[in-house]
Amino acid sequence: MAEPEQVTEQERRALRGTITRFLTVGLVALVGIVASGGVLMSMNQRQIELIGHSYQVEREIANIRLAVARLVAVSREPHGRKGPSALLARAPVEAGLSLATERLSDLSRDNPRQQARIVMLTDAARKAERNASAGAVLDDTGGYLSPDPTVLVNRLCDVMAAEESRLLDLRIARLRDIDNGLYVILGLAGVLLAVVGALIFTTLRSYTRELSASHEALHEANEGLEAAVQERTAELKRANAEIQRFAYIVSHDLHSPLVNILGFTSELEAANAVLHAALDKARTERPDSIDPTTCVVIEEDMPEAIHFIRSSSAKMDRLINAILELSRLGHRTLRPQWIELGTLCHAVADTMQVRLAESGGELVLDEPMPEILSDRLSIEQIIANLVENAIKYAHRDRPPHVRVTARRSGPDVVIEVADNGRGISEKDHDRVFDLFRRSGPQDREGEGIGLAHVRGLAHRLGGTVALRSKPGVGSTFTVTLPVHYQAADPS
Amino acid sequence: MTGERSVTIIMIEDDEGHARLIEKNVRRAGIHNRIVHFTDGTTALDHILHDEAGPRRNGPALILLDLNLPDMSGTEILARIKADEDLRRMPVVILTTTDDRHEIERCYDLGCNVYITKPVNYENFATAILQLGLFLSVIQIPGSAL
Repeated sequence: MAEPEQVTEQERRALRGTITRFLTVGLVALVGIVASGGVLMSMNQRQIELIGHSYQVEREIANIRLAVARLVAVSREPHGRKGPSALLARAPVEAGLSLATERLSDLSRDNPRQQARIVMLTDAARKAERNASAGAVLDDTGGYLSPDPTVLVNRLCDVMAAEESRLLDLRIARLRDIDNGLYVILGLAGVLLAVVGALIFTTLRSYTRELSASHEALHEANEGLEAAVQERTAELKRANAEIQRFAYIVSHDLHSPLVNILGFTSELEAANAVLHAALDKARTERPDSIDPTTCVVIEEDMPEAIHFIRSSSAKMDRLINAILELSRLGHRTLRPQWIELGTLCHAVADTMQVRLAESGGELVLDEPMPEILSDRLSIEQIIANLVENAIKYAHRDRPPHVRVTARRSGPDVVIEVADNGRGISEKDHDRVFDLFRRSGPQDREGEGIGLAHVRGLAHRLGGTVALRSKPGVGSTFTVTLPVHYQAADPS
Repeated sequence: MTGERSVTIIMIEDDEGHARLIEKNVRRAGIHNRIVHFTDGTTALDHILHDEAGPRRNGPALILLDLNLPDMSGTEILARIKADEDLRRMPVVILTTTDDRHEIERCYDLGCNVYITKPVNYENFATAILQLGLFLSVIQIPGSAL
């Protein structure tokens, strides 16, 4: 499962890189566009200012023309009207002319060629004024005595107007170019944004597709895993059932020869008794005829052989029965029901009364105890086995003291059986749960089945069993069972 | 117990040792009826159902049946006997090592009359057979002069 995840991680990183690249390119382009747009805008502004400037210049030129024309008109008035009235009429015209030339001079400060012309213009304008005030500028024919400064003024105005008009055309053309540039840049920006957007969109879409594909693959893999687990579980169950069946058949088939061994041993015993009787009879009737070897055979060897055959067969029978019992319990269907552990422990304690009385020991039940939804018989057997062991393996110096506690712990119930018995050496802590394995001096009856049984039952109920023990001090067995027994799949 | 129409004991038991021990203890219990022994199911069924000398023509019989036979299950023999109109009243005693509850129930469902588990402990075994002997001496078997 690690591989696809890695691939996804790589893909994710690649995608992030791609999107970052696109975004960076887009951002840089955008900044460029904005900057150039800004530059163009300021250029535009400048051109507009320049155009306004040109118009102003043109206007002032027009003012000068007008002033000069008026001046000419004033000076052509009939001589009779000369005098203070003519002076009065001329004054504002002259003021307008000088104001216009001054303004024009100010406006054209940036243009040296115009500036040069303005010097000439100012000069000409002054002459014109002077002429006008002299009143002798024109003869009757209207010809000029000296070159007429108004003509010069007009000519200069023409030249300057032409120059300004050229500048104006140039500036308008530039403005149009700048506007066109702005449109182009706006268009470029739009195209760029669209491209970046489209790229990010397609990348995201393909990524989403890959993501959903990998999600699907993961889902399939998960389902496959689940199926595999189910398959394994089914296999295990089959194998387990097979072992159970095998144990059952073997123990059964072993029973049959045992019946014979024990049966015919009894027959031998009966025969030996007959021989014994015959020997006794011979002893009293014909003591000389008795061979001492025969006596030993009949009185010692045969009973001894019979005794060993018997005890060994009996032990074998117990072992076979134990296997049979375990395999039968493995077959048993568990029937979960709500159990009051307190009540159940009291029932178990009642069955232990005789043993407790014999040992002089004491069994304490720590109440209250929780309830559990589980198989009653299994839990009874677990507690009974543990309590029985606790009483059975008491310390030789003191009577057994056994304490049973039960408490809830999250989703589990923890049952503890603690004793002050002889304890179990560290090296045997695992071994004692194996079938037919026992710990410490083999001075108590038993086949080493109880704890194997307890562990098997705990596992079947979905729980565990653990052991804490110190030799010479005591042992504590902890059984942890789920509060709600969950039956495995019926399959 | 002897007599023209005395009950024949048909023992179907594949283990020779068991058969011998059963016979010895039945005799010790004072039962002296004829015992016919079969070690496999096929021959035994053939004798019971078809043999001229078998129980169909030759008077009353009692079956001692072991369930673990090499060629078939004892329950099958039990079922065949209990399905036969003429023979279904014949007492069948199951004598076997199985003490499985389901197996016992099944045998009683099929119509077995007594179910005895062979105890490994010989004394118990002998006692069981002795009790079987006492049982045989008091039961009434149809069509017999026990």
